[in-house]
Amino acid sequence: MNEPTDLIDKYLAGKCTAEERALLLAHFNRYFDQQQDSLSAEDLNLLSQQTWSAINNQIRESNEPNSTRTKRIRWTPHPILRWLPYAAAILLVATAIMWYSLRDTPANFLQESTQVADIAPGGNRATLTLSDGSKIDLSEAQTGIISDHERIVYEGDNTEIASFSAAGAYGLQLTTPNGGTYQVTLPDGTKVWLNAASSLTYPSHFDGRDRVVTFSGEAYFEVAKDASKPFRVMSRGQQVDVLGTKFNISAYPDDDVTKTTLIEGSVRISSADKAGGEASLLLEPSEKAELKNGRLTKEHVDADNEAAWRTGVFAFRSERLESIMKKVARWYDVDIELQGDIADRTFTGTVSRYENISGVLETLALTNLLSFEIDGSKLIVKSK
Amino acid sequence: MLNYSTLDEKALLMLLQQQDDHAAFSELYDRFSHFMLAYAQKITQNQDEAKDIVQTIFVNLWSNRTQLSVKGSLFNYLITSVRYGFYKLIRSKQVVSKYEADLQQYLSEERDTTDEYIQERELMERLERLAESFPDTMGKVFVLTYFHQLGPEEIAERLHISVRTVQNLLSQAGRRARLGIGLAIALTLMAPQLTEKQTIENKIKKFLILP
Repeated sequence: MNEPTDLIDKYLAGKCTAEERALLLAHFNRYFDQQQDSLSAEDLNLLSQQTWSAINNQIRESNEPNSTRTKRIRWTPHPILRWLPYAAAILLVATAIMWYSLRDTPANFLQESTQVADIAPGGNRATLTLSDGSKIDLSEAQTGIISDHERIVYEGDNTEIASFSAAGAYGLQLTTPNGGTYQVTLPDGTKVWLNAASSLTYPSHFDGRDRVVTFSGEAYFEVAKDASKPFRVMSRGQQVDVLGTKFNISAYPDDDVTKTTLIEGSVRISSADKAGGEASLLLEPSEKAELKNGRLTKEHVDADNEAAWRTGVFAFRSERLESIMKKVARWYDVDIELQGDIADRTFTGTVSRYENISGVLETLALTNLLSFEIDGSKLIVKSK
Repeated sequence: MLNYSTLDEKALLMLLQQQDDHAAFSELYDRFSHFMLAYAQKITQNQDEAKDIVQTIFVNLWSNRTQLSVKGSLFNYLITSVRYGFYKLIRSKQVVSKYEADLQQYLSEERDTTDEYIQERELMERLERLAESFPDTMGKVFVLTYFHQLGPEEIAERLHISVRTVQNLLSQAGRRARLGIGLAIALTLMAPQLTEKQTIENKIKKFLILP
């Protein structure tokens, strides 16, 4: 016959038969009902608050040794980094020489020096994660995938990447690394272009009342019209509800602002503010909503400019240097350090994303305000 | 509107698992912690042990969020986790617990098996019956939203009230917390046979002073 401890051990090991489980549960319920009720509403409320702070302390402690985790993820993947120490050495020498000889012609200096130490732009790189957790590195020769409720194929030549049994909805995730971009057509026909360091999660089949995806990073959406099923994009602290429309979202975890720009149609943006209140705004074409510290604001913008990355250019219009450099870092997969009080300086200009990093740096150097230097795996930007 | 309190647990789990969203985590805690703590406290008869059990569950929920897959309702999953945590706790002790002694006794008794299977009931059923006994529709809105995953529109239709009323109730944090505490305590008071229904209702109303 069963000993109580054996029975409990079997339960903990997940090795109980159905009958044994029922037996244990029946006793548990009986024992439970026999116990005294000693907790008042106040006690319970207090206990809940104490437990919550204990949970957060424990999470914080266990995170501290791993605080480099996000950094590691950001910086390991790109093979070009292996060349950086050599490139850096060459660039430093080049910098030293050019510094003396060409001090007054910054544009020239960069053209020369960047020929020896340059960094290639990002390309078509992404990983597809299936519901069973398996990961597929997508072809760099292709630009996009088409996902329907039965299978996923490359957009270019219809080669099958994965297939599922027809019934049911499976969670799928498309992730781009630093220096990666990819396009996906979702099961409802909606098209999404992912910029670097972004991730989109969607089901293989939209079977609910609405079409819900979650997202972080930057992406351009062209949502297929379906008035009966609203399309909803959930990102950190923000929800965007649309029927059929074109818009761009930038919601990077390391940016303190989430930006949503409407190109065509109409969208409703909602946020949860810190005080637990709600805020929501309706965007019209050529309007951009910004969510910062729980506050939603909107302004009129040049919408094409905001979504220009998709057409292969960096377009900056009175944009802060810090924001520009974050984009450069994500696309060229380099670490960037701003030295001195330059983060808030603004710049305007357009540069191709398909050129090496020198293209952007040269353009910025034309202003005669900045200088660049590579230290290890880091690009240092200084005031001139 | 992205009001976390009106999101269903599927959306909250998605945000937690895919966006590391701490606000979603916090909302899940607000929804379920009172039930779990009241349940754990009653079985352990010890506040510190109840706290440890629930703390471990939520820390694991956060740390293992990416690997986690919840089948069925999150409430059932969390309550089952409390039970599991309780068994783990008593097995980690040096001495034989009161529970183990009781189990020993139980195992040696003659039992009517049909009766035992009836005992394997869902707490959810108790919750539904409780919700019925609450004043106006609030108890029902609470249970339908957090335990049955219905959206404000569906609830409004089912209960013949406006969507706005449903949303208002859900966004009032203080009211919602009191309701959760009230339900949690009532749940642990609830005798399985429901013979003392009247007493339970009175007890609920005593601490549940609703505006």
